[in-house]
Amino acid sequence: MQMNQKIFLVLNYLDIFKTTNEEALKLLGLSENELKLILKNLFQEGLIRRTNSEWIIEESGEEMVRGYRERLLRESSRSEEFMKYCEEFERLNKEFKELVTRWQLKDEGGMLVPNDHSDPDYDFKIIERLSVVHEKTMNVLKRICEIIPAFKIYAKRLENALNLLMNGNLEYMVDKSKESYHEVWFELHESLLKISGMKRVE
Amino acid sequence: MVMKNEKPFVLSFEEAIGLSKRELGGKGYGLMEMTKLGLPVPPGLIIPTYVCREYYRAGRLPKQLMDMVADKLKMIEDKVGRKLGSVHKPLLVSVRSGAPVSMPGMMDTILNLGLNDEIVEALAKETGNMSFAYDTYFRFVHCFSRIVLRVPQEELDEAVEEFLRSRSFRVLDFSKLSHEDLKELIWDLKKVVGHKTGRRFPEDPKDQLKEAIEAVFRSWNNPRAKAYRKLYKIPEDLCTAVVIQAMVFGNLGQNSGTGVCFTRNPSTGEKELYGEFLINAQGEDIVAGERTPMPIHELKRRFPRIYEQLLNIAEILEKHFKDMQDIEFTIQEGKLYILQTRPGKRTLKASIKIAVDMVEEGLITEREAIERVDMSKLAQVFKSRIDPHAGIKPLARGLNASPGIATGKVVFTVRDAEVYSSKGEPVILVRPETKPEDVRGIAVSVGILTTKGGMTSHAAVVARGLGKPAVVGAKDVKIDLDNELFKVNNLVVRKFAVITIDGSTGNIYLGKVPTIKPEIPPEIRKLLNWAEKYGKHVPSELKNLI
Repeated sequence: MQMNQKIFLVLNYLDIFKTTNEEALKLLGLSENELKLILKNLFQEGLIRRTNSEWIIEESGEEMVRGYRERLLRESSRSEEFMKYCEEFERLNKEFKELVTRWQLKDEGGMLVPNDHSDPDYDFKIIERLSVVHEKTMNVLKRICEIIPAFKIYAKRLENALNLLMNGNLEYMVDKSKESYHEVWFELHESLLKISGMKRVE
Repeated sequence: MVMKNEKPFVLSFEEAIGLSKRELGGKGYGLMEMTKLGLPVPPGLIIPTYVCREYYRAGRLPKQLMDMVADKLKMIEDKVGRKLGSVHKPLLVSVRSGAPVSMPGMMDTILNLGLNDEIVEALAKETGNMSFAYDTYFRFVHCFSRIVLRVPQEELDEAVEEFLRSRSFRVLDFSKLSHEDLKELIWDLKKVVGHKTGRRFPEDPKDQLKEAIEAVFRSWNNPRAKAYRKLYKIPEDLCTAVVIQAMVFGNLGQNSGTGVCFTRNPSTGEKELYGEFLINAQGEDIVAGERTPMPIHELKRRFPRIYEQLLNIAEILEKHFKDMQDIEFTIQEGKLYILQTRPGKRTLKASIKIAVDMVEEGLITEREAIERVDMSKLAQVFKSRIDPHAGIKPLARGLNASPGIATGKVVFTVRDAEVYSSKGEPVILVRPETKPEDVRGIAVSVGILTTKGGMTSHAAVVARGLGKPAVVGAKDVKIDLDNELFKVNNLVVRKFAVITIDGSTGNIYLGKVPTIKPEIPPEIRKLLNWAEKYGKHVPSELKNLI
């Protein structure tokens, strides 16, 4: 089976989360037919398996996607540049995580308490800061997508989450049950770490 | 002029009595109410929000507006014995925005308007205080250039820094500039204005006023304000009012100052003045944070009479608005003025105490009190805690990443977490750090313990998002995944051993640890009794605490 950017996107997702339902894969921006075909082919090649409603990646699938990542970088002959972008993303990641933490926890007289979102001014300042981080992220991501075009979908998904958030849907900051900014960011971050080979800094 | 039945474009604070907050904006409404109460408010005018709507409809200020403003301004001028644009006792005004709903810091304010090269000299002569006059003039030119003439802040700051450098001043020495220095600096700023905008800085106070009013209207639609309205679904057509008010000066020397205060403590709810002030400063200095303000009780020592007066005013305002207030004040040469009042922000804990105290003080009814406290959030604030008298020492300690206490069996894999939790066993997922695939495990566990990572780590973010207690970065806990155990020094804790984590303190305990109910302030009991009395829903977690 010939790997391409679309197959890569699906396999990469499975490699990050190990197991997923088909619904989640629909967020990767492929048409329903494309996705079905890709999953069918991956399944026939023994790269993924299926239990009930879940798709699970096999070791051979992990190996395949790992090989493809290396090849992508090598063939682009821009790996040094790519690493520079990843480092830039790491800096943004640090700031983003701090924003999310402030979004969740509020310092009240030295005590950290859950942010109950009753202070619009407090939340607005975080969202405002997020839109600055977002803009910087888009710039880095644009360069990254010159090397890995498949990741364009992350720019679209981040835009979408920010837009929903800024339209008053506060759950789009970090909620797990939503396609929230944090959820997309985290997936993108993992994807970049897997290519760059950098370690997650907690 | 104004026809019958037509709404007036400009009103003095006295004339505005009876108009709504929707028309006057929050700031204007507060000033009108305070005027009505006879409090020491500098006189002023309000241009209501419907004029702003008209501005946006027509794309310019209504034709008659400035004549009407000039006309009404005479009332102010007569009252204070000063005149806008006059070299004999000049009047300076502030021009401030104020929407019907709170949009803190989103829109524009221009202070010290009414100065030019000639008038500043008159002001200096009158007050015998050169530094004051030029300090005020500098503030005005800087503020007006940035907000009204839209010269980028960086360009103005650069001019200031360049000037300080040329005089070998450090930036921090800014306040030590002489009036001669300031004069030159103002000249430099005006040059920047000319260069950036291709026009001269307006010297006629009437032109300044017109441009400032328009700038405030314009600021209703600045990108920040628009973003804020979008976020909180504030209607676009509410618009802002403009408040034009005689300036009072907190920067006239050691007998002057400016401050902000709450009528009750906003974090505890105690009935006491709470806030801060600066001597020889204008309001913006408190926000700017370049000088450290003094706590309000210092005011009692330095200006005992004013402190008493402020206490008295706090009482009057609370009685009138039936709520805790957030006040801005200025002391000009020993005389107190109130510039703004609005409902004060407070913590949930404070909101409980304030609501109950106000019932006891006869300010509000029991029914009103229960409406003021968000019961659904109370259970979050009062959580059980580890019994300090049980004498149980923690095994180790990590970071208190997500508040709450959890007791469960130790598991090391997502699979075990899923299997045992599905059988109804509470489990605590113990991982060096969490990876994407671990999220499913976090979701089914009662708590999370990690040995790496900080407050912003993935595990912490996810746990908080799910409302699960978490202790992260417990460095002394050494995990051995192969043998499914962890060690703390010589102690071995195996899979399925019961541990307790306290996400509020970061402590980790062996076994189940006795907890005690949180100390519930007596106010809460009262509040809950009232809630039951009036049939208001009380969440069961909250009932359980009592």
